[in-house]
Amino acid sequence: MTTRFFERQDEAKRNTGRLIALLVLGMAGIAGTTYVAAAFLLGLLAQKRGAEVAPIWNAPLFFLIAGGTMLVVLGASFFRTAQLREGGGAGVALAMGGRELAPGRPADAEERKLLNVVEEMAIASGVAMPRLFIMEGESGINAFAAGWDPADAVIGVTRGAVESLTRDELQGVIAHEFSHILNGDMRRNIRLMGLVFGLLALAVVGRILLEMGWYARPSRDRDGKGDPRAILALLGLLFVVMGYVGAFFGQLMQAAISRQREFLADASAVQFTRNPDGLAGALKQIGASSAEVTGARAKEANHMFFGEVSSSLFGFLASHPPLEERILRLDPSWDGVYPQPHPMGAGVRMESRLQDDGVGEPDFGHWGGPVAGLAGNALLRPSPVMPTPGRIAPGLPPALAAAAADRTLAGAMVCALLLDRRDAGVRQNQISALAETGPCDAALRVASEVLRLPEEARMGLLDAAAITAAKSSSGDRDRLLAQADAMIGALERADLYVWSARRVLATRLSAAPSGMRHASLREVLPPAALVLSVLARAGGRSGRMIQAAFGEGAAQLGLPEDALSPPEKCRFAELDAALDALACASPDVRRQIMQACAAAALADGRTTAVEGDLLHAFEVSLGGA
Amino acid sequence: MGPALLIVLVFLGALLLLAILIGLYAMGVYNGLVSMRERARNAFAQIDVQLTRRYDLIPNIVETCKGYMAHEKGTLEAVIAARASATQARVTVNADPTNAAGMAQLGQAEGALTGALGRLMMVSEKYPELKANQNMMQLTEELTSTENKVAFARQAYNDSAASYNTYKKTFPPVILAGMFNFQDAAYFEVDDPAKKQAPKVQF
Repeated sequence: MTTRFFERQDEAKRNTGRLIALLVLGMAGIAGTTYVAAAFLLGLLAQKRGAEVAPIWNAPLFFLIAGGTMLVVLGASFFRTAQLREGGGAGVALAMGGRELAPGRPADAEERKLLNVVEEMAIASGVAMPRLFIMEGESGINAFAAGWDPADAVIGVTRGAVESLTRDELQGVIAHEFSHILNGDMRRNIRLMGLVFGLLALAVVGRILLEMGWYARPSRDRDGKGDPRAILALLGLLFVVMGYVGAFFGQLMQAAISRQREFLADASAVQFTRNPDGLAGALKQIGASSAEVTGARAKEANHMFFGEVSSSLFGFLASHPPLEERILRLDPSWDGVYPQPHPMGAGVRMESRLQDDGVGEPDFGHWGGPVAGLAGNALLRPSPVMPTPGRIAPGLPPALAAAAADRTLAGAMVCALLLDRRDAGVRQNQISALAETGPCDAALRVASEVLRLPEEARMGLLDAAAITAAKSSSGDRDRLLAQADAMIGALERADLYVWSARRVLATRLSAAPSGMRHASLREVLPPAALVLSVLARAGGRSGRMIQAAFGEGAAQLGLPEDALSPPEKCRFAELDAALDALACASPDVRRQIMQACAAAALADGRTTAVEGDLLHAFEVSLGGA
Repeated sequence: MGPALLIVLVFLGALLLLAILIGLYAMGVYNGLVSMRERARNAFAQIDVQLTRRYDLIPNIVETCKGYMAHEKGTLEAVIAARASATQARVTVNADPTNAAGMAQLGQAEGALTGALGRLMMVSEKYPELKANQNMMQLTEELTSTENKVAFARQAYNDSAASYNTYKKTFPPVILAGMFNFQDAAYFEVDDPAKKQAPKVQF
């Protein structure tokens, strides 16, 4: 498979040559047909007038018509070509809303990756490094190459492509664009567009002639048979027909050539990367999500893009071959089923590892580091208790709701809710750890049902059980906290749910210290920013979404948008400290912060289980403001 | 001037013309050989640039890992040693791809270095804090990219070396190549098949 790209390249080049020959033939055909028709009409007129029949070969007429046609078509083509070249590749990219990435210091990790991939492909294809643009607002998976020749070339990539493709897939897409640059496809396309424009111009000239002949006053010579105006009108009509028919077929051919060049570019991309899976993967991702580009200028530049920018075109005018066909040429064993779209963004890059285990829930373990750093942290600096009624989601199995309210079973519920959901081995470790602290039959009895609960129901149940457990003696409460810590300690890594659960438990079960200072909003802005950042990073899938969610919350507190904390700051220890600091704020301020958190969590229109867990933990920590 | 003299003159003239033509052709072939050899050298220089960059990145990576991987001294030292011998081999080759022995040595050293780095990356998987380190993420991306660039530059170099070697062996260039002692360009292969792939670095 990998070694067949040379054949594919030859095949595509042959096909393109044939199509261009056809186009040239078409041009000659137009001139010839116009001449023959005009000569025939002239002959007819001469016959009617009773004059001598003109010979079929009329050199001056031929040169007039052929020359005139060529002059109009080629002149208009050159004009249009020059117009399209104007501004060069960079002009196109800027018009499309691109932002240039300079090789010096790209802003984030994704951009650095993109820049590296482009440099790699420049080496592989032997083309000089083109200027690189990123289209920030576009979440579809797409890219384009523009420019007249390699020196003027630019590559533009949508934010969606950068964030949702793997490195190999991105490499395939960029290699495809490099092939367009190397094969001179952009220039060819501009020329073809110029030609189509030239044919349309012929039709316009024809219409002018037609009107001149039609509306001009008939001459006084009433027999009018040799009226030059009639000839003018007829000639104009011929031009109109030829122009429109030519332009239509020109457009068809332009689309056909463009489709061939797309196949060629796919084949060359495989030649550069020697990895058909990357490109095939990118095409499958487009199939699974979309290649849509929403910018105003995108539609007219559709032929430059990696995939169709919108899918509503007629097949024969589409500038790209059908997606399925492109994939099948790269991966003949493809079963026609598109994969799950990749999650977007750096925030979930870890998720791809987890998906190998067949688990989709995002794991934020990398924030926390060793679990040991988590245990006891909140215990050392307990937050004030301000009990709010625990929320239990409706639709919960009544037995579980009853158990959470039962003082003898609440502790067991808490333990069962801390069991790991993914790995039976880890669960076994947890149960062993729990057994060391005392009997655990009750926890095991509820465990199977608890493990079947939907993820978003866990936190409410845990809080309800914790509130029940908080009514027991201080010895029992301490023992439950110790049990919870033992179970958390047996986990391989703690995720945000575990942290939230630990936080809620510690808050509910610890005695309230009286350290309230009624701090003002201004005093607690830094911890508020951290709390919002964690929430935004937990829910946001892409860098942009994280920033947007953070912005929603930050706006409510008058925080600047750039106060978003970097991922390495968003650790459990820092989060605990921030919440402890926020808990010292006055009730009004705490309410304000909770509202900002809610806004951040809802910024994308939905709240995930993890966001819900975090919000719950924040709310409990801040005293249910 | 008899007809015999005329025939001799024409014959001599034709011979001279033939000699000139052959000379011109030989010149073209010679120039072709030289420019193809230079193209291969140039392609090799591209690899050289990327190899150097890779050698420069490695100390940074080792330094960053050191802070987190106290118990992996052996792995880190293996990387440092492999880097040292690869650097040495690169100097030996001295940007001359017709130095076959040096090229083989460089290929071997590169293979060893890639293997050692691969092990380091595998071990680093066990350190979530290291993986979350911003600096490490950046270095890993740079290393991945540089390794890709080495691979692509190697691909381009081997292609140009292949076309030079093929041309050199065809007739008549083979005569000139022998006369002027044009050496074969050595292919740049990274030896161990298990180490041929860049380490799969995945976060």
